[in-house]
Amino acid sequence: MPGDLDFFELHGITYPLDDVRSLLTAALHHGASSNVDSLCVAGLLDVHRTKGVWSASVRYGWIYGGLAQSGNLCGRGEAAPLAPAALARLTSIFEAEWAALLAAQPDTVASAPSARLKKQDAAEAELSVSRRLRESMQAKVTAAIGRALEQLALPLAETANHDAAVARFVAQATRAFFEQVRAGRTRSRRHRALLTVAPALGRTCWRPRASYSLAPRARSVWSCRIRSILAMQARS
Amino acid sequence: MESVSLEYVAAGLAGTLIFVVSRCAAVTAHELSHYAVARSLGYRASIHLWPSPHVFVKAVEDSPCDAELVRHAGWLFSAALAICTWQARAAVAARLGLDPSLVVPLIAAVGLTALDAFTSDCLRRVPPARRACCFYCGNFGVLLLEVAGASKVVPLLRKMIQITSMRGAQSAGIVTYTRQGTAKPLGKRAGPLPPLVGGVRSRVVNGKRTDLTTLLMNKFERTVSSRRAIGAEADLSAPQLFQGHTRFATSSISDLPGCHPHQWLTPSMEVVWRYDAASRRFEGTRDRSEAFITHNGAPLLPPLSLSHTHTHTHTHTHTHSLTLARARARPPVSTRPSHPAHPSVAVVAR
Repeated sequence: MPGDLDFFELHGITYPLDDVRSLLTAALHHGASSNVDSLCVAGLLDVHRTKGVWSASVRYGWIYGGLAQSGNLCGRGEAAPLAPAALARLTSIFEAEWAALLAAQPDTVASAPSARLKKQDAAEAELSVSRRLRESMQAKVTAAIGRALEQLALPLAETANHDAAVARFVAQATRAFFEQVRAGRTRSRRHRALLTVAPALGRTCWRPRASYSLAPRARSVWSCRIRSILAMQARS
Repeated sequence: MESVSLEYVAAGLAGTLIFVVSRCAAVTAHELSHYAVARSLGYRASIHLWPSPHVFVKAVEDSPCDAELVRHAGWLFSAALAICTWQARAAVAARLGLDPSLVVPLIAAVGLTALDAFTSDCLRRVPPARRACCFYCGNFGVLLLEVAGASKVVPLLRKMIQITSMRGAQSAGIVTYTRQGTAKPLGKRAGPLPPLVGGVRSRVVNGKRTDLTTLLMNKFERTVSSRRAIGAEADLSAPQLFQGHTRFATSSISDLPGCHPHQWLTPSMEVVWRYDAASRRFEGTRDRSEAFITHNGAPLLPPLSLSHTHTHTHTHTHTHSLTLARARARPPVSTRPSHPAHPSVAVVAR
């Protein structure tokens, strides 16, 4: 049926709905309460809802960074996603570095133009601060994470270039913390076209953080919707 | 040879006719048993035989005990009728002057009706409509922008459930987010604390004799009222989102766990870091974290895109964005009213 979640693409591999459900169960450490496809959409939402939360960001970073070269995750059994203890350990490393980083930041409350700060200025300031903190986090946390991964004996070590895999994991986790993450390689061509068009339309502040693939009928529906949005814009 | 063939044809036709007539009579008798019990309990009821035979009993959902009585009366009667027919098959054949072999279609029709009644009334098993092409789920929602519009929310929701039910009325659900105190900051914090927002979800599965709108809104109002009674704060303070869904099951049976709004992870308290523009620092608070989703059709439309009238209904939303919006003391989307009759609310329905 159009709109049903039939499969999800991750790192170039298409997982059928049953595999998506088992992967979500393992990744979120919580079982599915129903076998309907829509519940998996809720699970995917939980995986991609990361901004400002370290535990969710680390989970996302592991899936999209650490396991990027790991092949079919279902073939790896339950070991592929992070176990609760490992997730807590890695999260605590990120949180400790984050706390140290914030403590080292100068207190800028007095010098800030506070309420008169324009919206655009505020956005630029957030971007600037976020970029600086993100770079600092990546530089400081990578070595500690590498050591922790070795101690935890996680399957990341199986990859050919362990350091690159660790760096990818840390980069994805920090990006997920500071930004609304997106799964770029899973996006369809039409989806990418919309992301290009949407800001120009000036009618959305939302960017989908991950796409789930559409059945052929749904694709045509989606195509029609893009055309209708463009037509609405042309009329206005 | 020809006379033998004609006899077979005539017997086949007679058997088919007896089966069809018996089946119609058994189904009508089954519905009459529901009707009789409902009337004897003092309810107003009506029988509908086409296209799908059922009895509608007004307001029976208000009393679960009565609803169960009406529900079980049907299959018990059909089962009793099937047993009686089986026991009296010889007498029936003699009484009607039929060949004993022609009683078989009668017994089959009555037995099938009993089986049908047992699975639907007792086991509540209704086959999924895999090939249904004219029914889909419905999404609807109200975004309350001013407290002044609070009294219009329930009537609007009722109307929207009635309308979207035309797309499929097997089950339905609504979620809203109520303020449940304030978030706990980590360390010192200047200015007001952001509100702690929690989801309140109500879901129902419709019965054969119940009205989906009444069923859902009764449960929803009870849930919201009970939260209010235990001291939860600000149930209808603006802005507040009411996000709903009526379901027509396309790939599974219609049951409560399969009913929207969906939630995978249960609510949890998380430390959430947000950038504070005034102090130019990241500030952390312990916030309630949970996400609900309702959807149908093509899934990649922007969520909460209420700013451009009521065209988009894919309300993929979560408390995070709503919390942020509330913390900034402004609605999460444009305040342009989209319903001319109700300027204080934004309405989406499909």
